[in-house]
Amino acid sequence: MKKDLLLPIFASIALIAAVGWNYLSIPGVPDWSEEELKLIASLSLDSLPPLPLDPSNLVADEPAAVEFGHRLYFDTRLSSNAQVACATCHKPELMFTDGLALAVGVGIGPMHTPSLVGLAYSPWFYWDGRKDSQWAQALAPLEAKHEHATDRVQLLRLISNDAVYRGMYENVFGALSLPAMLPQSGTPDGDAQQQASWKALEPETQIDISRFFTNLGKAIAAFERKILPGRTRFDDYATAIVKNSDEENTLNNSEKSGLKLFIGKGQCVTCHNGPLFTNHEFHNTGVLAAGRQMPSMGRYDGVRTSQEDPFNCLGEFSDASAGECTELRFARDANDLVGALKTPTLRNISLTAPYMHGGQMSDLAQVVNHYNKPPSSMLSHNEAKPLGLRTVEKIQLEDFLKTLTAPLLIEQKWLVAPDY
Amino acid sequence: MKMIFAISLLLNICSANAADMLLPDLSGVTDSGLTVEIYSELSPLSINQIHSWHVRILDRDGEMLQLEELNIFGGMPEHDHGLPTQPEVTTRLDNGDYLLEGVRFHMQGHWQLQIELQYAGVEDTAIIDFDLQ
Repeated sequence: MKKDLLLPIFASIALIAAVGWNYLSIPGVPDWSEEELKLIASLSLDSLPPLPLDPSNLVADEPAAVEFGHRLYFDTRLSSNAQVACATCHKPELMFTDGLALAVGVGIGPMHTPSLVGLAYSPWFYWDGRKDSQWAQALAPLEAKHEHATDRVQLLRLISNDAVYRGMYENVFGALSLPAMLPQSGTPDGDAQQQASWKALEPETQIDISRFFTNLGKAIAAFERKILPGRTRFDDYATAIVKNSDEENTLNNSEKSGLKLFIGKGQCVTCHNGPLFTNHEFHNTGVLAAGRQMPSMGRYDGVRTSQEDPFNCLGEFSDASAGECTELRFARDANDLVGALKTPTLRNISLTAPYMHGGQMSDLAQVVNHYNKPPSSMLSHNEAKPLGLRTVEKIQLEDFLKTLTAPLLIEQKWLVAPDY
Repeated sequence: MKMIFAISLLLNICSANAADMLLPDLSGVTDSGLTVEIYSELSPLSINQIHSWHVRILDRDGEMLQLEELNIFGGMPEHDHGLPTQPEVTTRLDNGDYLLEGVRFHMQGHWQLQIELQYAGVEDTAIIDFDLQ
């Protein structure tokens, strides 16, 4: 053989080998070890415990509160421009997300809208965990300038002047008392005019109005507790293999290989664990800040905000005893939480693009690439380590993630607005 | 009513003695040779549930010790982060155990606990490594 042919031949072999290594999957169906079977079972909806009680919200499971909260959730009158409801950003048809990078209410917010599915299982809320109950979380957007941009006094006027709302409110929370002199608007957290109006109120009146405001949040939370995930192809597969029954074609080979990567080489299960595919905790995984924003301090700030929040579990508007506020009482405040943001659920992930706290990644391929080669964090350290996934493995991982979508376990009537 | 009271009393006795009869969920030895035994109210230990521990400190003769201070920290060395909570000893129980509230783990894998105590004016430390499935 001529010498000048050797180089092209070797180069061709190397190229074929490289392409093969990246794109050819290992034939056959994965075998599952005992340890892997346990992990798979732990991810299945079969392992989801009953919905935890919320001792800070006495009406959390009252049907009349759910009805009231459902009505509030879809009502755009709960905003300064009468165009924004909770459902504007948390759309039922998109698994209670909005399909946008950053939330758009009355203005544009700094963060991506997270899903509400299964959120009643979480001890913390918002990307930085600055709220410790679903009802306390529901209050904040109502007064936030870029979201509903209304305030508690305006809401008191709205509810008390609407016969249907007033009846629903009083049915759940008792008689609604109004002060003799009620300003047009007011909140301690608003602009200068709102704050001035608020300060002019008697302290007892302020507390009464804040308690009314709190009750709206508790009703909305009662409704949101209904938003639970439905059974997916993955859950059926998990049940089948754990029971050693005929698994049929619940998952195809690529999806099974993706599952093996998810609980193994991909290390996804480290944080996306449990039947909701989230540990409800906070991690710094080196995701860049959303465009033109400073990187978020994340949980480092969030934990302090939650501790100072007048609507927290230990506050006067909570129905819980101090002994029932364990998450708040023992919340950790440490430097390693700088830049740490909440692990989102992966259930229904194929319907909740874009991804990450600023919607920085438009598809799952980008997310998998990010974790395959995690960059240095803008703040503090990135917990994620390089994975060394081959191209075919990244595709398999994506294929598996797409098996986690299914219709919600919720009556259809809750997914649409009531008649107003 | 008497029967209910009797059953309740029996349950209380069983509960109070539960830690005495069980093997510890975790154990270790301090630098000076004291034994640390941890009895978890969530047993076997698992992720994502906040719970309490009964912590027992024994001297070389197996006698329970009364400490001046007891603090427990933890983390995952591989991931360079701590526990998601900051557990605290809130009381000493009648049987001599210390009640540690606010324990939660949020990831499977290798965890390391650091038990720092002060006894008879001397500071002492135990490190306990374990894998959480």
